[in-house]
Amino acid sequence: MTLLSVEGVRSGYGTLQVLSDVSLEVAAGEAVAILGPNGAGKSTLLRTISGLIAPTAGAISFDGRDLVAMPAHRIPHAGLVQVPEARHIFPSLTVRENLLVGGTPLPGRAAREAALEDIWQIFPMLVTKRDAQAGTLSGGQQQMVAIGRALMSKPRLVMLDEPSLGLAPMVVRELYEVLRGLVRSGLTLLLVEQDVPVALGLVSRAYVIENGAIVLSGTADELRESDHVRHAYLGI
Amino acid sequence: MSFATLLQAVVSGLLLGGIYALVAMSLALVFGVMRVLNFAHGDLLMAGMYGIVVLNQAFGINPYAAIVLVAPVLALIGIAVYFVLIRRVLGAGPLMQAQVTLGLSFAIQSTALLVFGADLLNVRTSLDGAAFRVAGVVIGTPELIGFLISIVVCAALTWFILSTEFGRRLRAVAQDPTMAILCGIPVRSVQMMVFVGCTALLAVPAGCLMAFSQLTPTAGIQYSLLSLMVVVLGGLGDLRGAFVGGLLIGIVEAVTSALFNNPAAPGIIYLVFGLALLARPRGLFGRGSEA
Ligand SMILES: Nc1ncnc2c1ncn2[C@@H]1O[C@H](COP(=O)(O)OP(=O)(O)O)[C@@H](O)[C@H]1O
Ligand SMILES: [Mg+2]
Repeated sequence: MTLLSVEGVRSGYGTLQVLSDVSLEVAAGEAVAILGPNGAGKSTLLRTISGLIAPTAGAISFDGRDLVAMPAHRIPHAGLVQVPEARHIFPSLTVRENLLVGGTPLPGRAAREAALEDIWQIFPMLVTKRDAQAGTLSGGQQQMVAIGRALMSKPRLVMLDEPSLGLAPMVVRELYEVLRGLVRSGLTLLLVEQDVPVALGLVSRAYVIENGAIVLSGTADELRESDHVRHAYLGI
Repeated sequence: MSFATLLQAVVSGLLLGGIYALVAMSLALVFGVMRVLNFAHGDLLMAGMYGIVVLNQAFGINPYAAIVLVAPVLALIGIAVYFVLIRRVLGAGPLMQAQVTLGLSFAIQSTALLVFGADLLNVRTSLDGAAFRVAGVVIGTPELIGFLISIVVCAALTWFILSTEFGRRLRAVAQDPTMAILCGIPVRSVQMMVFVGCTALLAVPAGCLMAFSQLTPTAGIQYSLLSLMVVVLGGLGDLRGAFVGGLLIGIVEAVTSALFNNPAAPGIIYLVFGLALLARPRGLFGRGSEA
């Protein structure tokens, strides 16, 4: 079943058009990656899906609902959340407060407290930091807070924008281990990543975006074998 | 100047400063959450003070009780101001925001002049002129009551922001409005509620101030300048800074007018303000804009 569908989307900033005619689909339970070089428009695509930028053409629907017509702050309530590039944790809120803010779409306090327990299970290393200001945490821990905050609302689809950015390789490995577990337990994931081998190791399908347009798509295996991907992204 | 005079000035200033602290916290909160520096803040306070005067003169209601009646009226004014003016300049340049809120300030001042004239107004209470002495220092009873009420409200406001769900969302909006949207927070309505709430809250200092001071249509601009100074001094949007800054400005004001007993004395505050800003350009606590 198609959960997220993007069709012929054109989008950008003011007069600067970044995306031209982008289409993609994510089915429920699937992990899909968007790969592409710096400046290709990956973050712009996620911002457009999240309603932060209005597309100038095309349609975006989630679970059969029109996202373009939906106010941006309602989109998480519909079950679609984003962890933006550079994490954007709330630095002077505590870790616990960051997570509770992520639980805004949940129906009430009890549901938020219960969701909090689930996040401590997923990221046990955050438990001792629960009352620390999130801004004082290491980059890897902040990324966990950002992901935990997104998971708090029990979303049906999570979009991650370059979670490995600025993290040490060992921390990236740890983080992807957690992501793998989440995907295995049924989380639907749309992952933007510049680290192509790492991303292809996690997802089942991927799109390659260059200059604001999708130039290639296929299963992770197909893309690993593709000459274009091998030359441009895997350096083989 | 004798030590006794200085002590008297510090105490009187501190009492008044407690009320300034509440006025400034409300302004700082609006700035922190909306990134709009409201030059009409003192004029909204003045509108509340006129409300207190009207209720007192027409119905004999005492200024503290009148707070409860003035607050909802100020809330309505806040709603109108938000939808007619503030909403349009959210995210606009600071110059545009200053023009709009300065325009509002002049509009309130002119309305007050038109309706109430330029005469000094005050309220009558059973506490008029009541005072007592502690260790040689004269403490006005209404001044002390105003101070205590303001401090309690400052504490309650702080508790609300730090310990409630709405307060948590409010802080998220202040720190990163885009991320707050991505968390599902209706940022625009949070901003609206904060503006309306902070405007309504001005009923408290309005009642406290009217219990012992006089009112003319230029009071608004004085309180605007004063609270803007406090908020800049405290570090824009920093609530703790606004609180401490309010107390300090109250003391500096009282001490300078005791030191230099002439009409230029209020000017000294601006000098002190300038020097303090030179020393700590990011505010007392050096953090700048963080609610
Ligand atoms: N806020 C913005 N305002 C104007 N242009 C932007 C903004 N953000 C990104 N861009 C431009 O849009 C293009 C795509 O950027 P982005 O979507 O961030 O790429 P990616 O995430 O793939 O690295 C780039 O040319 C970038 O300069
Ligand atoms: Mg990007």
